[in-house]
Amino acid sequence: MWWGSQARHDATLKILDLYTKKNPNVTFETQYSGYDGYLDKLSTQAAAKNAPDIMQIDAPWLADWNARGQFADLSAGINTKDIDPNLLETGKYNGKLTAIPLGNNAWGMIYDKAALEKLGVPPIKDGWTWDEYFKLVEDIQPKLGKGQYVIKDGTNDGTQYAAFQLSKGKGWPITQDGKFNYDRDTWLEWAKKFADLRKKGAVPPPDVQSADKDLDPTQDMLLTGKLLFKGLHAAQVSAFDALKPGSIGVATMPRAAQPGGWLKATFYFSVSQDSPYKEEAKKFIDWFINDPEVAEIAGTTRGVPISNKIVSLLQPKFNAGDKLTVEMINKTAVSSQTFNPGAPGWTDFGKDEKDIKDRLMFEKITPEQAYDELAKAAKKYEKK
Amino acid sequence: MYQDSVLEGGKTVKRARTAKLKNHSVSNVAGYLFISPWLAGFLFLTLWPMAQSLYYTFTDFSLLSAPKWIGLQNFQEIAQDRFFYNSLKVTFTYVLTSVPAKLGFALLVAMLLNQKLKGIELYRTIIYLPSLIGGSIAVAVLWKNIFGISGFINHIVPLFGIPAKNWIGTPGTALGTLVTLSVWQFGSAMIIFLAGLKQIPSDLYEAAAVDGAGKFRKFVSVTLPMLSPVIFFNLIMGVISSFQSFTAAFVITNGGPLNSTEMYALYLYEKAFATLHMGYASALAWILLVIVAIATMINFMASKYWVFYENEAGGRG
Amino acid sequence: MKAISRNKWLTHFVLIAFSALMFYPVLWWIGASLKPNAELSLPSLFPSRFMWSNYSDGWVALPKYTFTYFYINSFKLNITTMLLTVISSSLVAFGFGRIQFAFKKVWFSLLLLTIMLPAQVTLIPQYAMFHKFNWVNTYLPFIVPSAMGGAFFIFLLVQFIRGIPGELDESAKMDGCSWFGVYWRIILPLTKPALITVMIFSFLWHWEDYLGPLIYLNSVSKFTVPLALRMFMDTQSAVQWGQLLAMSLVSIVPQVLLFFLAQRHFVEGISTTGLKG
Repeated sequence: MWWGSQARHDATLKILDLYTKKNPNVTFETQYSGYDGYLDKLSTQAAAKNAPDIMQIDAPWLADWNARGQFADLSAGINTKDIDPNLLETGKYNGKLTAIPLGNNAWGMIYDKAALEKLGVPPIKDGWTWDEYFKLVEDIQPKLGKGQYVIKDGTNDGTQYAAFQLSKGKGWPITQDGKFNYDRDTWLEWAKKFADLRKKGAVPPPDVQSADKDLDPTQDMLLTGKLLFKGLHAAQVSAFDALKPGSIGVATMPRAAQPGGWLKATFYFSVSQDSPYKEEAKKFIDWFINDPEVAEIAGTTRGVPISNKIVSLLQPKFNAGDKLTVEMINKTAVSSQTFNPGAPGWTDFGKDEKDIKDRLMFEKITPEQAYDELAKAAKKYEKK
Repeated sequence: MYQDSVLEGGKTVKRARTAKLKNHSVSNVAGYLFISPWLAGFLFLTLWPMAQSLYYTFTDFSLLSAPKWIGLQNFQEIAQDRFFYNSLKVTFTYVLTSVPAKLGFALLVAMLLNQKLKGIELYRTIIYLPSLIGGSIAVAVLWKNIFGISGFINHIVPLFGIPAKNWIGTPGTALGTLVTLSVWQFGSAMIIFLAGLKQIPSDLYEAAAVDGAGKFRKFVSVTLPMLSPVIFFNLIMGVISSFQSFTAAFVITNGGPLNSTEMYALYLYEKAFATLHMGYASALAWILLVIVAIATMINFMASKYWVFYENEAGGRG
Repeated sequence: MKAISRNKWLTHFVLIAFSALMFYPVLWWIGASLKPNAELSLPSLFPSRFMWSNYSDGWVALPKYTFTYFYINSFKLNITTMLLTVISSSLVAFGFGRIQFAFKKVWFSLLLLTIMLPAQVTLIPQYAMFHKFNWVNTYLPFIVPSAMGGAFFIFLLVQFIRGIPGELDESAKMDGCSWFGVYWRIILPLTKPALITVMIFSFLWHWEDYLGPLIYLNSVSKFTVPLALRMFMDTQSAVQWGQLLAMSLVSIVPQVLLFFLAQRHFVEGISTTGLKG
């Protein structure tokens, strides 16, 4: 069972047919759809112990599903030597491998290259810093028209803030073992920086930027020419390039003493704990990630393939968008943080976090109050 | 019955008649036979899931592992949950504004469309279109293009000296756009009104005209009472469905900004499927059920004073 | 004479203006469905070049099956459920609306109660139950409940039936008509507008239902139109917006047609003069 685009459906069906041809004893009952509602259905099936044998799983779900022992142990039987060990690590839970990453991904930035050229701004250097980033905002903003902005207000962007705090060497705001680790000074620096930019009109007002929706051609501010920079996962870069051909540039997250970005996997294959065909499933996954024939069909329909061998094999076939994705991953790979898939039991904290930061962005509370409220809300989850 | 008639003297005749009518309409066998499809469905398909969800309210149930009995803990936590109170406030505001506005509008349009006019069928269809779009995924895209920053509304409001803004993204107006959407999708209520209007016997209007009643008088003394069972239906269902309103808030605002559009059902869904607290969500659902049931009961009790049923007219005496 | 015709023109004017207001979003939708992705963000209503290919490509965009297939699925399922809903709901509504029987109030309250519980929390146990019945990945989770009558429709019809003068069936009963005879010969013809309303809603709502089919149908070969439409949506790739909008526009055509055809039967209320005592 998987979600995805038409291209992914096409390719996957072909691959499954190929596998059945080679292994006539194995047939597949496929379930595929778009991303909408996928998790609802999967949870419903799991609750009725009717989950599919092999499921495509997104990173944010791993912690909870692992904690409930839904996934079979895949430590043995799948060849993973061509996978970056750091990425493989993200699929492990309590030392056991339960999710096989399928594609390379990275957290970085994209920008409107064409617009920057027009403004006479040189391309972004590798290893740029937060200071350069914020200076760029102040330099370019006066040259832009009404309703155009360089960057978004980062106040309520948790991922961006995580990058900021990591780059200062202060670790993840919520650690993987479930500790509240917002660094007060770093948080205040971040929040006040944006409060200042907001006052100057250098970031979109909150009501405007709340409408921004990645890849929606009528709402995405970068696609509609209202925004120059945006934090993004590498896997989505090629989609941006398809919608705005030739004018997307990629950069790493800005850094400070340490890098800001990280490498991660796009999503995973897991095998249901209730599956009667665990061995068969493992064999299939092994073949799926390592076989060049599969790679030939799949191409980049599941992002840049996870196996380094396959990547080098496919390299000549990448289109412009794929190349940008690879470029962001490679730039980030030079020096990166370790990805944190989230601590089990903290899913509800996201709601508190968003609520508090939104109120800060709408200027209902001060940065200091926001910190105190975050710390207080976190107490509920730390105990458990 | 006999004693009644003795005691109440003047009303004897009518009482007796009612009793006769009632006797005729009593039949346990026929009654149960006619409702048997629903009864079977209720007993075999609906009752068990409902009972299960009631059981979940007393458990910690993550969907991924078996429910664990925790007594009243969910309810205790809900009592201290500020998101719960917020969603209640949002939902009540939504129900109290959207239901009357939608019903009033629907009735008005239904009257307008209940005429013998060339092309009336085409008008009806076009006017019903927005309600069809409601179920489609396109509605989110559409609404953002009307109330968004570069949307249709912002081309108009500056003419009245109101500054352009993203109406969906501003805490003070976001809920208003959802209420507007719900009113804009008045089609279903309108159709039910229209069907109701069609069922009013035309001789009643003729009789009223003979009595010299004007348009307004006809509306008050014929249309409203004759339509009252249907108005009542639309009111009850409007209240129930807007208490459960989910889709619009889910696809357009996702509860934001500042949780100003976080409807009860949306919060419940988040708890159930996004953060996997089905026990907690079930408790929320049963609290909602009690609220809606009370609202419905109040409506039913109030209905005695304004809803007029033909077949019970005799019993009114 | 003159006053009447001026009145008519005024009504037409109001209706046309109102229709235009209601139609504007649809116009936007039609325009957008013909645009290439790059032009969607422009405020213009229509594209510089009409992309009819959004329709032809969209129709065959999904692997293995074209939309023709999904439409046949949807029609088969929805016409079945529509007919079953009308029949069962009207029977049950007649029982509740006309006949006195023991515990009627209790059952009717329970009927209303089933509408009041948010479906999100009964979904899981219901799925588990249907899974036990081996109904998952079949149309039975939709067909069987519709044969049991929808609570909403039952309540709707009860309200309409209660609006019909009781003397009618009394006299029919005295003439020796059975309960079924009363239902068939008196109540059904008199509630025609309401029955058509039930038909319209049953078809429209089942047609656009997404969550139910999503949960219960696994094989793409059984997918209905709304499910097929959602296959266009994926957060990690460039959605073909033009195609998505084009196909979702096409998907409401059957609804519009059915609505247009059905509401023509909204004829003027049957005059009950003469039947009345």
